[in-house]
Amino acid sequence: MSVSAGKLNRWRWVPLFILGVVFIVAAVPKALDPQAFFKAIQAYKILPSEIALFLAFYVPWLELVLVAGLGLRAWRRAALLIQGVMVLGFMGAILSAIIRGLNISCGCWGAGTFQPTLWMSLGIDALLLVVVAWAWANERSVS
Amino acid sequence: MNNLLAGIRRGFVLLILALLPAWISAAKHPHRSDWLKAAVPDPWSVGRSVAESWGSALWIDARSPADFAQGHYPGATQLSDETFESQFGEVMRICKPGGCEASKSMAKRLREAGFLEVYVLAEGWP
Repeated sequence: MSVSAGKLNRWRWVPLFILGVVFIVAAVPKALDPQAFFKAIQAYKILPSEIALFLAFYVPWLELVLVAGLGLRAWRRAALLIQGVMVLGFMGAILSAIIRGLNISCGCWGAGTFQPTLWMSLGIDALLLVVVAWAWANERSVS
Repeated sequence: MNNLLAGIRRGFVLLILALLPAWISAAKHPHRSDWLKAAVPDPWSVGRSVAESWGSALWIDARSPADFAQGHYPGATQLSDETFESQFGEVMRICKPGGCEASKSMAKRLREAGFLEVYVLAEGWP
């Protein structure tokens, strides 16, 4: 193994670790309190209530399944792909709320004390997207 | 390309896998359908209940043509002041969140013109 390959192997865990921690921190409160998450989705006024209800139960568990996927070599690319699409979807919803002038919290982290503004949430999601791209690039370089 | 396709295929498996814990979680909340009743009605729910009650209702979107073009209730008609004199039976009005002044103003004009069943959608279209 060359020196550069060794360095790459060390660094490739960093984005995966960041994504794992962020998605667990985001998913657990929502999985524990789906009703609060349902209200947060509804506040965006984008989706019919029935779909919001489905997503309130589904999204937190999908986030946790994706974290498990990140830990398994064979499933990592698939997990990264879905995480990228999810983050883009979150950004679209937040941007739409900003454009419509909605005065709501992101709801991305459950109903706890951490309630960033929509602009801050958009920034966090943009950073997450960069981390997903970083992890994806690492996966490509080692395949 | 093959790696991407394999990723997409496995992605579908992950999406389906997540359904199981989500279903179990939903089963632990047997009264979840009550959340729908307690929730603030979304425009689609309002539209459905209106359609059930008043099949002939006509939705008029009083926002600007630009707002209308960005998104509107299915089947709604954009109406400006210039076309105000058109004839309608029952009229539902849609406004923009945070005031709905344009809708209230036009609803008042319609009532003055003799259209008795004119309503403004509370909270407006998002």
